[in-house]
Amino acid sequence: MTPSVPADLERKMEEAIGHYPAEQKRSASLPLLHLWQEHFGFISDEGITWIAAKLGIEPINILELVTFYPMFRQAPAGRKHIRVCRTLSCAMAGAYPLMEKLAGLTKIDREPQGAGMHNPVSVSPDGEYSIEFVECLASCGTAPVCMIDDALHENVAPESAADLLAPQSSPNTQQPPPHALERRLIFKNIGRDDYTTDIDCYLKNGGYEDLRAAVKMSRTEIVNEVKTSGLRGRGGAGFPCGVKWSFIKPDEQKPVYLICNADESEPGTFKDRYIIHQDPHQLIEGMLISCFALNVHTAYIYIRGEFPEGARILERAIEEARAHNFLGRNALGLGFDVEFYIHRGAGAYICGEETGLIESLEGKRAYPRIKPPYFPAVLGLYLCPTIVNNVETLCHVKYIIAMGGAEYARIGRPNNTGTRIVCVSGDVVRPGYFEIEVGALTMGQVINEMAGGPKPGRKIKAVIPGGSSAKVLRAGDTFKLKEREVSMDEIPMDFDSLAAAGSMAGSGGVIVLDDSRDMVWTLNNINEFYAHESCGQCTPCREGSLWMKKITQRMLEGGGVTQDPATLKNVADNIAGRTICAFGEACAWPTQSFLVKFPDEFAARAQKPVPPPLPPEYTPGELIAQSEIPTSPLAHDPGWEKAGSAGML
Amino acid sequence: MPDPNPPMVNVQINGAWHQFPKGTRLIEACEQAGSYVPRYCYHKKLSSPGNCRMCLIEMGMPKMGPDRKPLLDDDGQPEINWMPRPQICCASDVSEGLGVRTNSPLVEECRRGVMEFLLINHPLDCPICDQAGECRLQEFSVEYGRQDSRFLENKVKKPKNIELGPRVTLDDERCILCSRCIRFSKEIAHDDVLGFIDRGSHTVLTAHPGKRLENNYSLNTVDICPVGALTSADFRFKMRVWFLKETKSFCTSCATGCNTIIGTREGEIFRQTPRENDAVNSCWMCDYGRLNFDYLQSDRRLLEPLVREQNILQPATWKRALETIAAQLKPYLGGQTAILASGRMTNEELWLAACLAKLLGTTLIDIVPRTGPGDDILLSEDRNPNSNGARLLGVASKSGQVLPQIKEAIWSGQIKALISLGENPVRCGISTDFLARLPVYVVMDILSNEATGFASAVLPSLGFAEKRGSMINGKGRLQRLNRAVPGPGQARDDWEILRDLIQALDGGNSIYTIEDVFRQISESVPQLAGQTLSRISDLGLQVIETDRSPNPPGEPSEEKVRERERQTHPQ
Repeated sequence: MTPSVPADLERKMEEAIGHYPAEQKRSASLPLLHLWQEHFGFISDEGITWIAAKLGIEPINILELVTFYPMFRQAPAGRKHIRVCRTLSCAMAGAYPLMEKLAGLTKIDREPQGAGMHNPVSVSPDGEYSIEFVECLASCGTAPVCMIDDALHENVAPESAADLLAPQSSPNTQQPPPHALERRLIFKNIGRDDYTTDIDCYLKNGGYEDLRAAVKMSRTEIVNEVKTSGLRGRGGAGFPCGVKWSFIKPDEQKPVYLICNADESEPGTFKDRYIIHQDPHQLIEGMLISCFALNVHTAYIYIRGEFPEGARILERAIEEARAHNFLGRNALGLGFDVEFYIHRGAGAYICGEETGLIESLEGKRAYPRIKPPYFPAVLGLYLCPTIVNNVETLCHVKYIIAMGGAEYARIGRPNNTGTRIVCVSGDVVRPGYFEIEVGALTMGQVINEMAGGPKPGRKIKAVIPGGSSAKVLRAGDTFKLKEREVSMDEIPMDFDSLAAAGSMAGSGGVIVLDDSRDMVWTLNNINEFYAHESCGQCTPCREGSLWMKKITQRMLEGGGVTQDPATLKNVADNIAGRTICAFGEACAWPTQSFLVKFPDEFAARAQKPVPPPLPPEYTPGELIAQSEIPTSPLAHDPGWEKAGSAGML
Repeated sequence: MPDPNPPMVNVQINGAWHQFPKGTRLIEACEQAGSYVPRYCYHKKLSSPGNCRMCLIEMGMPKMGPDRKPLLDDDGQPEINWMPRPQICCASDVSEGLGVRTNSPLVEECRRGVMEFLLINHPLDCPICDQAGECRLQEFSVEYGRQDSRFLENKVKKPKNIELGPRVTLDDERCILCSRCIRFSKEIAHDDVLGFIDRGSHTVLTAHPGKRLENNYSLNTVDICPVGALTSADFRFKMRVWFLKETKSFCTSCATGCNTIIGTREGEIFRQTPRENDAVNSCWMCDYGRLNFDYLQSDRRLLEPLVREQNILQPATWKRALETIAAQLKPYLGGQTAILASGRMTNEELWLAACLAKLLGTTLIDIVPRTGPGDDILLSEDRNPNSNGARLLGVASKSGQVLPQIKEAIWSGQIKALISLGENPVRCGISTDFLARLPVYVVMDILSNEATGFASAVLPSLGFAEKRGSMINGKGRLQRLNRAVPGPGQARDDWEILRDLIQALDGGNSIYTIEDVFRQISESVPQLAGQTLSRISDLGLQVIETDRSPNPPGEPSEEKVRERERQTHPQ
């Protein structure tokens, strides 16, 4: 059956295909799938075949994508589709009771979790609602959150779930004023009542002046300013931005691509969301300066699929910038052509990994590439030199040009320069984002003064300082930094100090856990995230991440055996450092650190004897249900042991 | 094009220094140095995704002094700066001063870890798995795995017994997601039909429901599948592989002559698999050729010599049958006979057929052309495996050229005796009406057909897997068939039948073995001068320059990847 595709839809598809080089039509796979799902509600078999034919590829190539990216559905959802975030900060704030409440209100009998790969989409009997758990929606500071269709709803208390479903319900967008300890560059306009995303507002506040200044400089001068600034990537790895840029040869013959990584999805991180939603033009300006510096004529903003509003805002910002001739043909009358395109993801955390992102942008499953040989700066998008930078990093470029690299480097500490946005979520009084001078504040200042400290009557038990993959720090420990020993509260919030303390600054997502938290439960929630998000390309991560999750789940349900902590640790050790990409570390570090820091809690849930290796075999269900695990008489018959191998024949 | 004389680079492997040509893949270098590195996803003819992580080794680069020259140790050898993390060796080439360790405790721990990960969700159904005995999971589990299982959880359930296509069956629970089959389909077979769906540990291999894995190269995916995920619908559940006797041979279904291994047990052929030969077929063969051996076990096999008596074909001894034929032919010596030979005959058989023609005094000898659609991978349009042999030995300078003449001469009655050697005259236009006119029609063949009934004598002979002999493929390569199974019933080797017929006609005999036949050939055919049948190597020998069959499949993607890598490491 050939579906009838309306002319308008097909026109939009043609336009999307035009965003990519003519011989790279496959790149339009995700955009076409989004357009199809927006129109038809789900991706039918006919849709897969139709899109494949449109792009000149095999249907299997599209089926591979539909099943890889969880946002794509192969069956209709309800008229209103609810996505409840179930990742750590939201789960701590009540996402699970919220889900139960919503399911009850919409009369949805949710399918049991855990059998398949995706969280199941369940539809209400009247077809009005459908509901699913999703992984981190990058709004951890306002947990718990959910999305109803494209709208984000924040601070949704389970008891007020009914209000959510009321027709007049509108998203909550209250912004707190800056804290006195903050030093705002990137966020200086975020949360201002009088500030809008319009280009006029941006221009009124001095917008695009830095671009005008930059184009008067030579390319090498800009790269050198960025190098001098000491700016380190804000996406997670903290790689020096200027060094990355200098991998691009000034006389490069192939096209050079710039990709803005707006796939913000590390649990605990929610900074790029606000830049995009509230001050998009500074990102556009930062990117334009970068394009000019790197001789880039085509740049893509890879924005996660769960930011549909963000994508619309950026589309509009690009149109406005084009109307003002900041981009497009002959930008600023300099004879320099530069185009920006928005490319939406579809719910895969691994797209945050730069080579996974590139594969995704090429219209494939987001399988990270092996390095060597596929270093993006050499063999990136379409095997051309490519620079992938985080949203916040690219915004900083604008300020580096504004104040000069040397002046910028005076902010923060040596090797940890500039400001960065720290996102605090979890068990604090005032979760939220804070832009701080890197290293100028301590963890204690951020958590206790800015975020209001622990909730009344509670004590902080542990902190995950750089997104959920960062190793957990235990309150009460002392940490050996370069020159001194400090308490957790005294650790300066910068790259090097957090690394010295045995964790990392990562993406700036600080998740605070208080003394009410069960560490096995916490780790299990994190493990579920990574098991769900593992792309499955390489063996250790694919098999190990799910195995770790299954062990912690069984321990939680009362089936823990004495060997479990040792097994867990060893499984994590067998993943970290042995995978294609850094996801291996990301999924192993939580387990490794939780086990070392909280051994007693894990031991307490691992009390049963190890079941015998010979039949009868025990299922996990039996391990959970039975209080005693009998050993098999055959396996432990002393006669066998004595006879040894001689007894075999 | 690869450099014919690439510069050599020094590589330290497990403490000893070795030299390899620049461009050697590190995993191959280790193997050449005697340190085999286990691997699942790596295949030398396909691109390297580096996904199985089985080939993790320790790697290090030479330590550099302040003068940018390598620091030397007390023995004058470069010192190695070892990387803290293990690295895969399937995706990078050797480089000067590189150091690797393939047997360190870290490497062993890595392999143990990967083996355990691969097995936790594996069904462990070796007793009923066709791959058992030639399974890399089994092999590497013994060598690198751990003895016990620590896995107490439910395994991930996946689809089983999926018919991916008419010839390939898939068990997703056994699949280790190495992607070899996906890459083969895309890069070699040019049929992007397979893919992974779902994600993480739930990833499964599949084809789109609307498209099956049915290209003519589909069974190569079974060969390269390192585990029991992809099995051959033809072979599965027929025989445990460790019972198979393996005989090196080549495929006779077209002029390409893909090198093969014939797997047999107790006189029965169970499968044919490709054998690597970069001058002929790389590591592959087509499904058509691979499965084209059933006819050797057909009910229509001719099992005993037959002689027409009282207008009925009656069983006879070989001696009597040949004497009878000789007596029948003698009156027609000198122009009243014709020989219908075959491009499926070996050089030795063709040579003797030519000798027979000379003895009979006829120039009416030809082979029957046999063509079909070819492709740009392996399958040749010429479906005769030995057209070049027929040409070189003077049996047919252009196959089929003499056929109309033979046909006409039969009709006109000029020809009284026709000898058909492994060909059915009806298929080349000599219908039964023609055959009915012939006083003598001698058939030497392996199967009966509509023409056999018109024969005055029938001589049962052997198929390609039942005999020795040589052929010259479309690209001029001399290759040798080896006997994998004995012939059925009283069927005899074709060359022996021809020799005995010649002997019955003229009484002389100087040929005792097939080697003698080949010696005669080598003495009179300059291209084969100095060769013996036994000396033809398993990979054959280029004897004439010609270009009749498609090139062995180039590995365009591999080349591309190598080019990418050259760009990455501009040494």
